[in-house]
Amino acid sequence: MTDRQVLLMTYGIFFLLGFFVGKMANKNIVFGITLPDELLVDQEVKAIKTKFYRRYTCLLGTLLVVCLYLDGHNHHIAYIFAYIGTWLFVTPLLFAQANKGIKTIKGKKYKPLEGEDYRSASLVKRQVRHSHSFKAFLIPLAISLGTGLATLVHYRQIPDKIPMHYDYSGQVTRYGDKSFGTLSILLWTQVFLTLLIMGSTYASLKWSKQRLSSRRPKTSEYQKSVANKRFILVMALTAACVNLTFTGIQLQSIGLIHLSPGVFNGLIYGTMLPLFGLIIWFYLTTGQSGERLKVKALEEETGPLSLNDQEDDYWKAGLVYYNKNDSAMFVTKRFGGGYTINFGNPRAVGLLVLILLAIGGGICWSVFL
Amino acid sequence: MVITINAGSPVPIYSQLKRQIILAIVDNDLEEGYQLPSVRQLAGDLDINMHTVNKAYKLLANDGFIQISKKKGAFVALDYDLLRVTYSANGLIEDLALYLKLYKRIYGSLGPIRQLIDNLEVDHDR
Repeated sequence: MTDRQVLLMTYGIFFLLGFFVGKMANKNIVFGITLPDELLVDQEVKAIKTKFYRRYTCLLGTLLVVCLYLDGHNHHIAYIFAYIGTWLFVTPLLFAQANKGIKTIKGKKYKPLEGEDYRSASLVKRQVRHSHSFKAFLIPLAISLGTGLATLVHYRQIPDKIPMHYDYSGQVTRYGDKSFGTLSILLWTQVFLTLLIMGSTYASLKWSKQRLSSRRPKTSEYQKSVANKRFILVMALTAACVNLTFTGIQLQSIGLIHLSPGVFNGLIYGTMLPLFGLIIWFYLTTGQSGERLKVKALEEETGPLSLNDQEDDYWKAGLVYYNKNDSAMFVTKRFGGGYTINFGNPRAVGLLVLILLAIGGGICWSVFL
Repeated sequence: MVITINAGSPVPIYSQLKRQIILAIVDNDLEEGYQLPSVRQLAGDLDINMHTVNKAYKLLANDGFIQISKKKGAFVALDYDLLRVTYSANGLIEDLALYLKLYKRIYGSLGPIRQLIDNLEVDHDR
């Protein structure tokens, strides 16, 4: 793949992402606001959805055309950064606007029931570390270990100059001297990334709030347990794909495999493709908290749907959870899959800062070394 | 196994929790030795204070339904001697008599309650 094709693909993926906003949340959550069934088909709610997509198409579609035109005339990396930067700024803004609109409609049309605040939870003790799916993390760890061993065993045969940097098309742009230090940079990075993914998966399941739907708690419990298992698997396979990419670069660098730049490049991007597929599969078949999972109707009466109004207020712009009174460090995302941190919890914010520092430090280390 | 509470109800949450866990135990949904979630987990999931869950667990232990150990946490362990003290036969019959009389006064007949007793006996025979 040429860098040109990669760029075009990136533009396209970002633009298309905006059209999946509605699909990336549970049925009763519209732009971060929980709505009762009758309001899901409300005309005003539908109008806000249409407005969001229209504005998104106009603003980001125009920008896409402009960026592609300029990029085509005068190829420069700055255009794609400008596009992604604007996208990251404008999309949440449009989302927040829609969130506000839906909130107003809910305030006007939905009257919370006096004395009813149903909350359901599972009585099963959560065990993350000892669960079977957590063992899937052995795959990325084994890949890291294998790469390390291969490097060690092959050490004598490694040439004195080793490639340190590749460009988009897989051509070597910089060489470095052979030493344990230069050879272990990639290895440490992949071990670090694996442990980071593993740790955040563990933490987000162990220290999170796992509320069940009070409407059908038994079904919800089953869906949630399957979703959590699959979540661990997706994270473990993500770590495995990331590891494979690093392993590929490492093996090519030390001369254990000799691939032409084109094939090598394809391999690097190729390991990312199953990742996209995996994530899309997770969204389509499982959904947030397993809501999309097809479950044979369990024998249970349909209870009331809890629409805790305060919860809506804790989700700033429908995207960021901020609740000082909540002891949970992680909560299930209202938008997208997986978990997000509680920005009102000092411990959770501290953890985020630590992770960001670690990643930032890692990048600085690899750039300046 | 699922638990549902109503935080908007005037019934205290700890007693709702206690009642539901007892019901699950007598229904055999929670068997002897079943490990209950940690106080932190349950309080977090239900968005309630940890003291509330702790209180419910302590009351259950005092009654003889569960045992709490510092290392292993809370697990179902029926202490029949203690249960017979907490829920004496006479005491249960007295309570039951009150509810039966109340039911009859308000709803006239005891039909649905006979049905309930029959069902319980069928379950027991099985």
